Amino acid sequence: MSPALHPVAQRGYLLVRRDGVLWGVENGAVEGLSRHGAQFRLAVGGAELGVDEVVGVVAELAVWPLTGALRRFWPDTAGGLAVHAEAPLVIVDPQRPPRALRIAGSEGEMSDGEGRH
Amino acid sequence: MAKDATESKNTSLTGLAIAFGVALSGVLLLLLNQGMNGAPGWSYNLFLLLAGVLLWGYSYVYRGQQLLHSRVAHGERVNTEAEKALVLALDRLRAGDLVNCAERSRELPGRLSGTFSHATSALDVLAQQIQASSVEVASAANAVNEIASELASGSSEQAASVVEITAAMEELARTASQIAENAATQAELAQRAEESGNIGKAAVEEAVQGIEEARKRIQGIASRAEILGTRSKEIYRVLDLITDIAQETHILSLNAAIEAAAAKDHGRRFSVVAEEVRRLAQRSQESVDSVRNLLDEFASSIRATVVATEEGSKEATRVLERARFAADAIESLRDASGDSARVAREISLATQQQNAASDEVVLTLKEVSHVVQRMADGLKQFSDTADRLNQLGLIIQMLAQSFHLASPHSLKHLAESWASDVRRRLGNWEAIERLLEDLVNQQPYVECLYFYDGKAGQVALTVNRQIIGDREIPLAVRAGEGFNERPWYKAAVQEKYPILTAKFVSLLSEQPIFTAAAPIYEKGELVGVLGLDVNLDSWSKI
Amino acid sequence: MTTAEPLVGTGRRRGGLSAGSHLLVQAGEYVCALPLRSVRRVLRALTVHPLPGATDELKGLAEFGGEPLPVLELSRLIGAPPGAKPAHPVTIVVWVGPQDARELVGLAADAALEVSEVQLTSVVAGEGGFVLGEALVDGAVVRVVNLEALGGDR
Repeated sequence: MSPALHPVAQRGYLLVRRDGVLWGVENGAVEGLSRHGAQFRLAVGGAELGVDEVVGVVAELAVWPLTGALRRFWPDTAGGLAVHAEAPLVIVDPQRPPRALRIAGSEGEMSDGEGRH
Repeated sequence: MAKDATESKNTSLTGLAIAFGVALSGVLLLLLNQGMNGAPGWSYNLFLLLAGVLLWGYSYVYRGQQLLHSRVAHGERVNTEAEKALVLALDRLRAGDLVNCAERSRELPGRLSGTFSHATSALDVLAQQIQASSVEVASAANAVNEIASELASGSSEQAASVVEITAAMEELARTASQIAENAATQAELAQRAEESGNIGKAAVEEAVQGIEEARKRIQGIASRAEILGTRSKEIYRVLDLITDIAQETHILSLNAAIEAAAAKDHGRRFSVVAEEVRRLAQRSQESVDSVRNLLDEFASSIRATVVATEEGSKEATRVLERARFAADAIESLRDASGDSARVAREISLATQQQNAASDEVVLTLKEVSHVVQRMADGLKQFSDTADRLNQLGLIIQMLAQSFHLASPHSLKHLAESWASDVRRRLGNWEAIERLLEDLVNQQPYVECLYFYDGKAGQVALTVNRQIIGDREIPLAVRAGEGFNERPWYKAAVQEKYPILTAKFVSLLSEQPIFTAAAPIYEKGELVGVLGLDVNLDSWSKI
Repeated sequence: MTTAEPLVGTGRRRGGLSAGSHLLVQAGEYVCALPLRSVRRVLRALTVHPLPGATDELKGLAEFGGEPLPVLELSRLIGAPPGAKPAHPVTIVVWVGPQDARELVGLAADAALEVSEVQLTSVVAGEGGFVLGEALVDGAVVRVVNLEALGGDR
């Protein structure tokens, strides 16, 4: 992480897990949450996201922006990175929800101006 | 004739008496007249009457005389014919020809014919009974012979069986002796085996104890090896810990070097310390590796030891099982040896007893053999007697056949009958030959049938192949050479009636035969002789 | 600031580190040299959480000092053939990218070996990519990693 950038403290986040990866969604960005069988459906930024587990809600998180090295090797979109309970997590960009959380068949167009290597 | 003679005599005496009386009366009357008147009167008439009576009387006597003569002559003729017939009949009777004798007897007068006929009939019956009896005697003799043969055969078989049994018993006795010897040897061997079994059992028990001890020790080693294995695992854990520490130290030293590099000149001494720490970590790691290698070898040895002890323990267990099994087997063997010895002794005793019994059986069999032999000798005599009876039957049959009987069993009658059949075919030689072929198969005892024309020297001959077989008929026989001089021909011609020859050997079958022959006459002239050869082996079929 | 002593041979200099000091690490079958000045820390292998959709070089995200740390697979970065399963895998936290835009990244390696001097003048240029070149250290070939190239695209 770039020492030049300072971590940004945000408001409360909803923590969810999908395929073993921890994700954080700003509470205000959550438009809806529903159960769908064994999964949960999360409505964020007009998109419907699928998660395996709703971990919980945290009051605040220290968020670091994505580094260039990360973007180079991970082309998906995200709002930043954070750590919770000694585990790393990815912050969801409400404007551009990540493909990794989208439900199959519901992926829309995505701006990939960053992160592509 | 006596009656006629008496009658004639009486008639003559009456005539003479009447004549004398008339003559006397005439004389008396004449004298009387002369004495009285001198004239013939009523006395003369009386005389004439008397003379007439006298003439009638004389004629009566004359007729009587004539009758007497004729009767006497008839009687003489009758007597002559009767005598002739009687002679002929007696002659036939002499020849045994009861058939022609009976015919001749019919020519005899009155009661003589009936009495003679009855006599010949009785004789005929007797002869037939004798003939039948002879056949029965022969049959009985054959039956006896067969029985005797069977008995003789049976006794021979018995004798042979006795010999075999005797040989078998002697062999059995020898075998029993051998068995007794073997049993004694077996008992001795069993005794030794029993002793060996005792020794073996003790040895096995000792070995079992040793194996038990070894197994316990192996188990002890295995336990200690297991403990060592546990300890080595603990050591491995310690080594892993030390490795971790060494690794941490190593990383720490690297980080120290990094910090020293960041501190530049200020971190120089620190970098030296970091380097020393790194080396220490490296040496520790090397020591750990060395100890781990040693421990690996030690653990490997321990494992090998554990495996070996396990294998050893298993093997010891197996050996122990086998040892126990061997001990049990030895025990069984020892018991079996004891039983075997006891059984061998019993066998020896039993064979000794068997030997004694076998000897007795052999003696008894020898006695049986003597008895069988005597029985065989007796049966032979019995058979000889039966043969003699058979011969006797044959003799009696031959005697009976010497009679010509009105019976199908009479050969002379048969010859005469067949001769009549031939006579009816005279002039047709082929018919005669066919007739002979038909006739020869009608009687199973006829070996050969032939008709010989002595004048023409021609012979028709046929044989019974069931008796002759495939033997060739000699050409001389077929040609009838010397038939004129054969006894059967000459006898038949001489007797003019059916005859029977004595027995002789057949040229065809080379067996004893006799011939029945009958002459054939045509208009009183001899035209040939029919002969049939009877095989003596088949005589009882007559 | 001390004067850099001239390097003699390619052996390590006792008692000091120079600009040629590199951290030697095992990555697959290759030995790689990381400039010591760019190495932040050597750690036991961190727990890495894979990111879906990432390339093969990105192993995932880890936590280092309370901060998220992307971890790259060093052997894949340099194209090293895979080696035996490492007994003591490590994560080297390094600075990547240009000096004015350095980022911390974790490099997953099979083992951290030692700090050694690599004569920069003896480095033979490589085929490009993330390998700066090859050099001989104690007779063994080491590949010098170009950490500056690992940064984000400008």
